[in-house]
Amino acid sequence: MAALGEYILPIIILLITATAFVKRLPAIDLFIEGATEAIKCMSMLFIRLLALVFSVKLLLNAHIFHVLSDKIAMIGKGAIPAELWPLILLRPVSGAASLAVTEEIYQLYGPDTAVGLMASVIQGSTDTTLYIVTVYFGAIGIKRTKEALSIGLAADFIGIITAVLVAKWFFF
Amino acid sequence: MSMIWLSFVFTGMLSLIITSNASVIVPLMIESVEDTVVISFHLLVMMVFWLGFMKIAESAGLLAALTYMLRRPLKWLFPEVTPENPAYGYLASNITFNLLGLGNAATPLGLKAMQLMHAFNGNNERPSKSMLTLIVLNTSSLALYPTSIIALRTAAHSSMPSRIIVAVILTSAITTIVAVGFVKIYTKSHCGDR
Repeated sequence: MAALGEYILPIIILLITATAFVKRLPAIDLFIEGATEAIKCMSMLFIRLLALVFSVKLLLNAHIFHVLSDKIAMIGKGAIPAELWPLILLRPVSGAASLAVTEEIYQLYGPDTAVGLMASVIQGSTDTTLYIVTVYFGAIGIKRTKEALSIGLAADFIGIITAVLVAKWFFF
Repeated sequence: MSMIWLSFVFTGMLSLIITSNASVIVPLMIESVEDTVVISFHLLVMMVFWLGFMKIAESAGLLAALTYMLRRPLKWLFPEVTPENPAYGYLASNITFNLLGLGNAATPLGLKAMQLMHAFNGNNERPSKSMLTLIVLNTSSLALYPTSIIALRTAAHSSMPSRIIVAVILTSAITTIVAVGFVKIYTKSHCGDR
């Protein structure tokens, strides 16, 4: 299936070009018209992304997540393994950092242990909410992100609880 | 976002000062720009190709065909977007690409849909219900085959990398439903039937 997955992109493009052939469309002009929009979009996005990357980098540098996760792990003892807290806190904030934490968990405990399986489900079933909200609203210049962020983060919270419950029910 | 950003920068600066590590600030700034260039570059590559090919697909009527196949879920998810709105085709392709696990290719299409819905919403400062729905659909990352996490598990020498597939899909599905429910409840209590 993984090998099959690689064929999806060329198949979609093949289908598009085949239809354009049959309908004798001015394909290259259309392609350029669409692609030009990408440049416009990016010019709005770049600085917004930079602001986000900078603030996340500062926060990561402060090692605040490890301090926080130690504290929370003491409160939530038993329900969620303490090793998972850094991942849970980082997942909505930084894609690269949460990926690194997942890899670290794999290395320390192994991908097929209880912690490794839970980390897999958390990493695989949620996404970097801050980044997605920044990109989707930044591209059109909407500044009011309150609703999207609160709903997105609330959904992440539910997602993590679900991930732990599903993993427990599924694997043990 | 403004408050989150401020608290991140504030906390970061405070810790730099407390730990007397002030000299790393300039390297951190340089790294931020480097990282943003890399991220933006990847995004730009995806946008150039997919917005280009999708324009052809749009003219060829392929997006309309996809929209027709997905008309029921689209109608339910994005009630105030009319089928005549060109955003429909991009919403349909964003959802399809996400389900196929092509998250990178899905993003530009989602952005385009966002742009079209924003224009339809009269370029209002306040995002519409459908715009919020599109965002939560993309943050809850529902895919029929979670490619990246399986690749990660394979790289870590898992004895059974695909063991988590059903659990991941189930979790994503529940989160997606809950998130869409949140949007429906939130918009009902805050903006009436808008």
